[in-house]
Amino acid sequence: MQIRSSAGLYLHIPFCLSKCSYCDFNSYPVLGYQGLISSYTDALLEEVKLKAGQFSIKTVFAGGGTPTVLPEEELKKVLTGIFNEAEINAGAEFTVEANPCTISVEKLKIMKNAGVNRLSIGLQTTDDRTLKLLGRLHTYRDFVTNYKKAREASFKNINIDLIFGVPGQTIKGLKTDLEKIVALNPEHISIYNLILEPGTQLEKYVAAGSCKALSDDVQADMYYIIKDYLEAEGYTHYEISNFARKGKECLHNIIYWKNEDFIGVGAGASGKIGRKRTENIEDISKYIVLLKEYKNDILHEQKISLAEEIAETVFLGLRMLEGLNLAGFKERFGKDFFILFKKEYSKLLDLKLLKEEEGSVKLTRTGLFLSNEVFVEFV
Amino acid sequence: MDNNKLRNFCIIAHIDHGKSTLADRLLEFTGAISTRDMKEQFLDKMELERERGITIKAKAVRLNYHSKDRQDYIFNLIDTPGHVDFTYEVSKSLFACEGALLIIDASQGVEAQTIANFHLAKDAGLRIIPVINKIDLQGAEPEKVLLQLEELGLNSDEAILASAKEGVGTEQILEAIVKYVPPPVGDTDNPLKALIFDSLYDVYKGVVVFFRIFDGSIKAGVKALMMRANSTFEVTEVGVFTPTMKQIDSLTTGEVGYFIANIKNVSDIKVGDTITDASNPIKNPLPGYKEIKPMVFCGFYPINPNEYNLLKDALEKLKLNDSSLAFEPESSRALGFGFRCGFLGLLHMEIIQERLEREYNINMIATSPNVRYKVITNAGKEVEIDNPANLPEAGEVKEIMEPYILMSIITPPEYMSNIMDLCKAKRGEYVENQFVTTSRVQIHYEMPMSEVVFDFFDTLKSVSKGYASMDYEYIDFRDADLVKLDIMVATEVVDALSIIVHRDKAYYKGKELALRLKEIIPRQMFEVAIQAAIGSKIIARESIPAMRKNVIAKCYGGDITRKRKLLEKQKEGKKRMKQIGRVEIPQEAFLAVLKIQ
Repeated sequence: MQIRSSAGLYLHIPFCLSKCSYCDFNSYPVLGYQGLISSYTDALLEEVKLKAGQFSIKTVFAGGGTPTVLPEEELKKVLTGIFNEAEINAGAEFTVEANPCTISVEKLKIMKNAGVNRLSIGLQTTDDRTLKLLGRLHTYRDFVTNYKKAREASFKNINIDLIFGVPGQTIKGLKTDLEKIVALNPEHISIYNLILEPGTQLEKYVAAGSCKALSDDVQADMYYIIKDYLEAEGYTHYEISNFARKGKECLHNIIYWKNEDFIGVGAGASGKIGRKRTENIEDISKYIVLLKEYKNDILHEQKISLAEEIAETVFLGLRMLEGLNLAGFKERFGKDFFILFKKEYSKLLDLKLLKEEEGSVKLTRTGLFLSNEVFVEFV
Repeated sequence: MDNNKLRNFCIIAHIDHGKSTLADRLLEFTGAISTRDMKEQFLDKMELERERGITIKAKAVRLNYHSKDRQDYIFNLIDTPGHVDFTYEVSKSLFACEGALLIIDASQGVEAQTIANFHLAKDAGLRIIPVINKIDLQGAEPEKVLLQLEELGLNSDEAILASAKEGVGTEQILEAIVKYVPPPVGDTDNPLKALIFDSLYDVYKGVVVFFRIFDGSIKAGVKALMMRANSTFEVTEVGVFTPTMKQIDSLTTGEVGYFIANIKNVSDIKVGDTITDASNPIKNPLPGYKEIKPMVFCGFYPINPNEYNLLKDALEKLKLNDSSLAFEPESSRALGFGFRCGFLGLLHMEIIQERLEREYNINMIATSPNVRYKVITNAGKEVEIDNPANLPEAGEVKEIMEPYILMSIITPPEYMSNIMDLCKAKRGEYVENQFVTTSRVQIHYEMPMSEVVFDFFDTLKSVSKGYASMDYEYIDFRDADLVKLDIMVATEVVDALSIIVHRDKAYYKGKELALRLKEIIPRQMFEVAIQAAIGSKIIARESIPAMRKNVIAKCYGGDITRKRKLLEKQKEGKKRMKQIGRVEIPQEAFLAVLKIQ
């Protein structure tokens, strides 16, 4: 028997109920695409078959968009279909992203039966006014209802997505978010500092002056309040924006941060195998046609140089609080990190942004929220 | 050749009054160049000149004109630079002519350089033909301009109404040149006497010298003696520009042309020098020669120290064509190795800076420009300082002197009080004012040149709604109460930011400069103090708080390539900054002082 190399599998479902004001992802309101959904999921499974064949899949992550916006039969088709097209390890972490208002008891059942063992629910904040500004269609109460349904359907590994640093948000508001979320006792919390992406609705509001971006100082204060609070509540801070109960770190995302191989399928999805990065076409209709007609790589493919791979490995690895393992680095690239980056490292050490600890190079506490200052030294 | 059929003339004008466009029309009309081949404004060679709409180097072109009375004439058109920085070059070009077309914009009327040039041309004894240009424009008021001409003492009956853009009046102008500009006089049998009015560098032929013969003749083989420079070169080629280079056997009295003589550097050629035949020299050179001296100085430093030689080569190449550019190596504690460069004026400096960045692709820092100071030490020694950082310790200085200029401003009377306030604020000393026409006052002030090189021109324009125009000439050095203002960034003196200022303005400037720098210098990983000091006395302090946030919150599979590019872009931005001590300082910080009113 041939030994398969392992990889993560990412499935992109580019449909949402509606576009959020901060979102610049490849996602579209589902209402306009009803007629295409079935062909899309066909194409998606076709792509899994084409690409995943020679790998053993160690994690699956269905993201979007909002996968749970799919009609029940389509959701079932995708989640069970991948097992026919790919070799998925028994007990592999299998995450589906969900949004309040798209989670029904029936869909939870479909997911559970398909082997989904981790849910990632987008909440963003517990403040209904801020939810409105963010363009979310649900309230905090909607979320709680859904969350409880998921627990009742015996999902034992749930992530809650939060955003901080939203215009109008206060330290007090943030603390309320943290208290309410911790009270729900999720296994995992992702909390992202808001990025005002160009072209998004929210960025336009700020540019037009109808709301005011928070200062860097306030956002930095918020970041460290979050870190200290969640750590005190027993969560491990394991990546710049991610916290988890011990053993509940997201294995799929760790693949990205360790710069390991993953397959990306779906419109606009990216993948990385060895030193090759792929990027699918974003347009849904074109994606479907290309996949049906050509049954092949429809994709933009880019070779990355060794230097680029090293740079990426360093800045992705440093995102994790456990840092970049020096022995692992040497084993992977045959080069000593300190010889390669002597100048950069000593500068960053001097600035107290990096440190060496237990055989790894890590961001310092200050370095976390200034990590770009560190990363630029390595690209 | 028959000198009666020869006319040497130039075009003079205030900037933007349409000199180059008119030159184009004359070239076109006389068939020197076909419309089809014509790039707008042929005589402005460099891209940069075209973009800025100004002429930097004077050039001479020979035109053949078949007049209305069926005679064949040879015209030499000498194009002159149009900015106050280049006054000396203009005066030398004028000296090579017998006549001048004085171009005046029909809507702008007479301006400072119109008058300055008019006087230069009059002093050079030229026959002046007024041309009122842009009569096609809405807002053209040729009648008013005619009146202004009368007031200058010009004959308005001779004025030609033209639109160079539309080609109106071109033939009339050519006929007027035949009629009014006198043919050159001189004697071909006398020993050679010729004036150098310009030069350029050609990669294949070396230095090409432009000259005008007053007596005698010149041809290949002549040993040309440059009387002021006291150097001799054997002429290998003579010729004229038609406008392409055309070699001919010889040039004689009254003619304008070029010669080539194996000269390697334009700096071996002095504009205004007199050429004679080394084997049969004249006794006295032509009058009015001046050594061109740079008036404004600044440091050029490569951001990347490895580009030092690149910058050196580029400066050398630019110097080949620009004898008024001066540079010598210097080093700064803050900026490392670079060059102290001297320019005729601020515009000249900006042009050179832009060319270095654009044509040679050098990423560099230009420090604040300054004038040259004279320092008399307690030991009685006189030193010239062109870099504030080199000012001797206060204890050693007995006296500091700074250059003064005579400023001439022409303005409609309603802006007079604004302008006088401005001049006073710039430490100007009132001399006089007079009405040059009923609607134009000429104001004279003696002012420190240092007050003029910065933003004077822009401020003048703004306080006069754009109507006032200026011109100036250097007078002398004068004693002044000057101090060196140092800037410290994170407790280190950044020598490249030091300026010399009048004591009365030192506090204000120090405070403003510290504030400016606080805005310009991005937040660093640590708090950065900015201090302004005179000697050991701190007069202003600002502080830049430490950076707290620079983070990519989300980074998953699909983001990686994009985020790497984003980081690369941030890195590029850092590369354009200069690391001084531990602080990264952007280029524009070094010109911050220019932004202070």
